[in-house]
Amino acid sequence: MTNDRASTREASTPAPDHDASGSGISISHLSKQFKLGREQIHALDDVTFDAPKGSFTALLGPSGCGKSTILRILADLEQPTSGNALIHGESPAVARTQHHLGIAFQDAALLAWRSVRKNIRLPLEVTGVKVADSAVDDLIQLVGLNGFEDARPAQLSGGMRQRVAIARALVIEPKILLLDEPFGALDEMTRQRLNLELLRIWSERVTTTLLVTHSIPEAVFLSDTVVVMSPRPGRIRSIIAVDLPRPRTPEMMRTPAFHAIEDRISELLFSFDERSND
Amino acid sequence: MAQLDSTTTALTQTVNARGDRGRTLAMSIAAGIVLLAVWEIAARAYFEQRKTLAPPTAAVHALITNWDAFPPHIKATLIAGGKGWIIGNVIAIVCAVIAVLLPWTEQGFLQFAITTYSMPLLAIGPILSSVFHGDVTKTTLAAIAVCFTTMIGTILGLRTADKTSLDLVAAYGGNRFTQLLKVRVPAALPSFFNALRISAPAAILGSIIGDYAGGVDHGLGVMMVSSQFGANIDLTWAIALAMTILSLTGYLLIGFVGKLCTPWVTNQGRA
Repeated sequence: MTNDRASTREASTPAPDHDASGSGISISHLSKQFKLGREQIHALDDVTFDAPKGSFTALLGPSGCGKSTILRILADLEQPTSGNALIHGESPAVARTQHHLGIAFQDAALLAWRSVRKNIRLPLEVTGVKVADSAVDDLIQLVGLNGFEDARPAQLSGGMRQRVAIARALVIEPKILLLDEPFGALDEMTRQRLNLELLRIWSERVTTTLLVTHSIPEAVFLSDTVVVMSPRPGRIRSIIAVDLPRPRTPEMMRTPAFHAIEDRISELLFSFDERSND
Repeated sequence: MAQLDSTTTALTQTVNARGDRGRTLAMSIAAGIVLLAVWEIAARAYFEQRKTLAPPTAAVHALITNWDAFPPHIKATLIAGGKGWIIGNVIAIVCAVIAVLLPWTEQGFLQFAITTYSMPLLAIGPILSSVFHGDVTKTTLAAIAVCFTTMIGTILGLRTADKTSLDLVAAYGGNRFTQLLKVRVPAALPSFFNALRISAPAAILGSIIGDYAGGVDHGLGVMMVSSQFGANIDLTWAIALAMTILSLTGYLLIGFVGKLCTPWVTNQGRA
């Protein structure tokens, strides 16, 4: 990634133009409503943002802000009520059937009856994509699971299961990687370590990545851009570019620059109530 | 009796899952020995003259001395029960898979399963035997006896599939059928095998009830009726013992096969 990004900029109004061809993720005027009993829920309200190819974007916000809904729409697991989502110029339905998506959830969702290697191979079986065995071995190496190829999920720790989930998301060499709080259920220390590894993996195979999280430091540490969202209805509060150089190191998390960005985001996140609907 | 055996084994398994396996095994063996001893003493002390309760030793003795008479009857019960077990299970599995793939059909299949479950086997036995000849009644009763258990077990199993795993397969372009193949079917195996093994004693019971409906020459039920008429208490108990052993063997055998087929299931998970 380029390190010479413009200094931290805040765009309260997202970029209006949508050149799909150069864009990694392009979301315009996305809305999603559904009925819960008699109540009409606005999960998403006119969400628009862009992420360039090869960039790392975090969707940050409290629960109920619709960040996971955006991810599920991009994965073609849900349909928007209105608006558009494009992945490298393709609709989610096309991207899904053309096998351009890699995805990992908070729940590793490993199949208990499959070994680590066979779990990682699952997307290959579903998509019919052919990948050399050595490529799968490389991936196992990449996520640091050598020696555990034939272990069953029940024998692995929570952190190791998520490593498998990440490797599985990468195995079809997707154009876009969708991560829905993949380390959300892990303890803080494991989470830190896996975030570092995620960065290493991401920098080795530059893939447009969208991470859903509710951790401010995690979002700042990993991303080029943090999309800050507010709940009910799910809206974009602000889009913040993170101008920290890459490669990122844990030491950076203790720098004033890092804290400055964190504080700005905190301020945005915790001032909803006073400044509602502005 | 078969029903009771399966319940007892299920209970023992639940206990096993919690504590030390070896100790519980020793405990159940001890409990079994105590039960047999009480039975033996009671039979010898109080029921000796009335000739209604045979002591276990007499039942075993009768089984050994009359062994020559058993094989054709065991064979008849096993073949009819086995056929019914296979037919009933195939019907149940097909229904369960359709019910899960096409959710709007589920209600209908469940109604069908509940109907088979509510049918009193004893009452429809004579009706069937007046229509069909030979072993058809026994096979049909055995099939009816297993259908409900397996269908419910399979539907529940197919439904236990992890939602996120299903989403995952969908995100990689998989359809309902891919989800069924890669996620639902393997996830259903433990509960499916549980249903299969519970249905083994049920099939044997169905087959034996078929004997009572009449029209057949061989079967443990036929043997039971004739030994009752002959007032041969020891032999009657020996036949009951043979039925129990048969049911239990089927139950354990299928449990064993299930265990081999689902090596990822720990003892905790199975209970």
